[in-house]
Amino acid sequence: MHTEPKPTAFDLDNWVTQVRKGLLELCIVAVLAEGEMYAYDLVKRLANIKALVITEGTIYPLLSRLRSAGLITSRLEESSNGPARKYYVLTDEGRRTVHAMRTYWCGLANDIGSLLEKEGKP
Amino acid sequence: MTQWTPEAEKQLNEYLARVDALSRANGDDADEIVDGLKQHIRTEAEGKSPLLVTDVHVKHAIASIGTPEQVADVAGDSVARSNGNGRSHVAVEERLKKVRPIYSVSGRSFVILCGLVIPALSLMFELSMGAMAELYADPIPTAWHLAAGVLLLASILATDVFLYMLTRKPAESSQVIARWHNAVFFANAYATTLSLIYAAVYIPILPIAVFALLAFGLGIMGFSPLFCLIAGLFQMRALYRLRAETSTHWAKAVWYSAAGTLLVIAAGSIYAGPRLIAAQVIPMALSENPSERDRGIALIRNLHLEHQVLLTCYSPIVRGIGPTRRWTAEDIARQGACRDLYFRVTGVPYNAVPRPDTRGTFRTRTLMAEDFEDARVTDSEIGGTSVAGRVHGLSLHASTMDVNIMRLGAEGSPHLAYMEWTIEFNNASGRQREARAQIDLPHGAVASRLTLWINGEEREAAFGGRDQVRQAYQSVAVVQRRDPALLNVCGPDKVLLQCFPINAHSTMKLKIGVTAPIVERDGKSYLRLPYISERNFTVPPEFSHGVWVECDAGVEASSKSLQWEEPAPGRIALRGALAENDLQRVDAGTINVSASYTSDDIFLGTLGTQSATMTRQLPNAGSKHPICFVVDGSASMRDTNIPWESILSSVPDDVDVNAVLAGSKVETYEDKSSAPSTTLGEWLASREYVGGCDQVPALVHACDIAGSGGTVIWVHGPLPVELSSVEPLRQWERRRGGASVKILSIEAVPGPNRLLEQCSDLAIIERVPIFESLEETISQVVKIRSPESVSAKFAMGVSDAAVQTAIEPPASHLVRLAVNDAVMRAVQSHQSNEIDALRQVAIEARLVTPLSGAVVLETMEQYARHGLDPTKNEEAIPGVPEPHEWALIVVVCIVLAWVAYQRRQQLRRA
Repeated sequence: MHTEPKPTAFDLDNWVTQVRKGLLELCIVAVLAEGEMYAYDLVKRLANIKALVITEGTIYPLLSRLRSAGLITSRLEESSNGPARKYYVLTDEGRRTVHAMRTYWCGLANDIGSLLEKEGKP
Repeated sequence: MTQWTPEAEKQLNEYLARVDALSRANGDDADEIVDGLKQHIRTEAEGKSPLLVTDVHVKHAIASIGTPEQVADVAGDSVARSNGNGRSHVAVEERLKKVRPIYSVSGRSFVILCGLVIPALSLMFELSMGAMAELYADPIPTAWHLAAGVLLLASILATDVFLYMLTRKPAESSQVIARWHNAVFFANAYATTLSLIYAAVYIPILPIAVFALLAFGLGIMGFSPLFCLIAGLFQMRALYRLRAETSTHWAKAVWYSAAGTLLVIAAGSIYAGPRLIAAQVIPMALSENPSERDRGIALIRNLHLEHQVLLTCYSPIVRGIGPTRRWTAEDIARQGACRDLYFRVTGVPYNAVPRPDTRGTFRTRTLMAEDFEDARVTDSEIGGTSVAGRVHGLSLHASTMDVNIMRLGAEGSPHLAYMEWTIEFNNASGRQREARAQIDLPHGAVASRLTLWINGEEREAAFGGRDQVRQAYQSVAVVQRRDPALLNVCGPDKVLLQCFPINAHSTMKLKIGVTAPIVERDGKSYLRLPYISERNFTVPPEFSHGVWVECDAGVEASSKSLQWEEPAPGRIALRGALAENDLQRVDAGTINVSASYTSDDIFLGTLGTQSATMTRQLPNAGSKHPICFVVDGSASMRDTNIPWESILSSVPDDVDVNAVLAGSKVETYEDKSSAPSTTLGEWLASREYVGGCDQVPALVHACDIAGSGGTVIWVHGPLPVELSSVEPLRQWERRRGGASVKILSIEAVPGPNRLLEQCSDLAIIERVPIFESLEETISQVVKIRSPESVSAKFAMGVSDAAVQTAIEPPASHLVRLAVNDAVMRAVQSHQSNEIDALRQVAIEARLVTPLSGAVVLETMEQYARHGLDPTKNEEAIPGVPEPHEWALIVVVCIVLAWVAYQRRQQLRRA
């Protein structure tokens, strides 16, 4: 006898987490598009975006991967307060990517916003 | 500057280490992530507490950063990333599923069976049986090889466990990879490279292994290196697949692989490199082409391959596999050539340095009492005519020397000496050994007794023709392996002692009697004690020879080791112990007899039916003919520091002096092309002394320079090999006449000398004994052109002139010396008509001369079979008198002196 598979409960928390993760890289490159930034300051700046609810440490693997992908680059600068500080900046390719991501995101946000507006109307 | 508590540092480090491991597992740049986090936590913590950071501050900072799992994105709430690089552990697990087929159950079974079980069994089999070492080549020649083999198996096992963990326990895969992947890549590369080398070396054995496997079901062990290689390659394939599937950031793993390979190559190069290089260079140095030979010798010196040459002196390359593995005549000739080469390269005889460990295998050295290779080396030397190389386990156990210096007549008459050297050998090895030694006798001395202790009983030797006794020895020693000893002359004032077999873990004792004249030089009288100049056994470092000298005149020794005593009125004794090196040294091994000889009487002695006379004879006045020095350019002369300027200043102005250096090339001072302004002394002092050099061309050249009536003073070190034929010297004597030139040989460094041995029948070469320093000796020889100031002149038979009968026992020793002198003169003058008669005289007088020798055999039947009789002329056996005999001798001396005194008084009154 054929039986229907047991329905799996939708995990809203997981969905939120995945959305945040996807946006995190966009946020990083968007902040760096403003100019060179010390890693600690970058993390703090992103941590201030309450909706992202990021765990600060997760930024560092993302920075490393973006650098490996050639979107950003880093340099060390001596500091009078302690060890040398690492500063990150976008590469040319990073700028082009930021532009593409921004275009895509704006288009997506606009379309999804429109969709959600219609959905919300009685 | 902010201070951090140790707990805070520890907290931080533990956190970062965990992040590091997880990031590596993800294939991220762990170093960069850890650096960033470290800075972040420090900034955060130090911002909170600028003066002192404690673990509480660190904990707060970490709380805001997230757990290592969150940071590395491997927390339980993560999902696989969409880019397919597998950076989460879920992705790793997914990818590992692909690896499983390449490290399947059947593959793993092959690795365990062929890469671990069979090689491990082979290793144990080889250690216990040594089959491969016997058959082809030893896979475990050293303990390092055994360790490398065990490490190889451990590497295969470790790689297997690693792959098993990843493919069977994926939940732990991230941690396992993070912690072990570099080490496993290293181990796999090590195992694969080592297996490859062994497989390549043992390829020639594979056909035999295949045949043995097919025919007898045996031989699977022969495949072990190949199996290991296949297992290693199989594991390597799995590892690289894993690397490709799970991450693209394992760059370091490749470096660890390279390191494993390099380790094997480096270790192999250190072990086998010198051998491989030596295998190329040694044939070059043995070339017939002089320029290539010189280049090869220079390379051996520059690359410090002397030890490799020494190894080849004892253990040449053996060709063939299995039953065909034999030394060929070419191998043995090559071994002999290498022994010559070692001297050419170093200037040191190969058997003067400790024997290198060539006892085959690690297995035979550690697990078995004896080995097969050493037995082959020794067997080829037993009963031979050379001392050859050192043998394992044989050493000098005890040595005592009893010396009796006796006056021929009343006070003022010359002395003779008789000494008995008792030697005991110890064989600590598990095989029978032959002891061989070349003994340097005092100048003009003759060996007059040989005894051997058999079953605790001292047996006298039989004397016979030189070849006759050697044949008897070889027959009994080599073939029957019973108890013989042999003593034969092997050069001027040199005898070769051989005894075999010295049984395993036992001793052998023998005694040599020597009759010697007392040599007069420059108003002093000397007796040089005999010493061993070449041997095939070791002398323990703390060993010493017990020496006991007695004389009726004053005697003294340069060595403080010998103490002066007066055992009886009119008797002086020197007693003590001399170390082996001291006995060889002139200043320690010489006894000075402080008696002034005023009598020019002719002394008559009798021995059996033979009678002979002796008188002192002054040499001719110093010659005005040219002198040419020949100086050995070998390395052994480097430390002699002969003050040539001082010596040459004693040469009269009207005597022409020249010098030839017998180096790698013959250099003559008068050529002067290199340094025209240097004096002869400066020229000699500035020469380079390297390696071991041929002397014959320089001696022939010097004979040409000195010319008829001239003197060649040859100052040299040991010449343990015959680097070239002595035929040019023989030709020189034959064509120019023996008396036309004289070569006076001064041995600046004691040791064997093949040239002197070969030239013992040439009248032109005379050996100069050394009693004082080299400077004094050479200066004296320059002055008197002779080995002695006053020589003892012997004559066989009764002289027509008035003679004085010598007292006993020196009277009989006088005859022994006279017979030896007659034999030497007959041999050197090639008087074949006299030689047969003199041989018989020497045998009857029981002497070891160039014509006769001594041998001790075990049974009378053995003597009879070889035409020898040890009891013949037993009355001619000399001996050191026992103490009670001294009283009688003293009485006789007093009576003789009294008679002589009365006769003179009567003559005066008349």
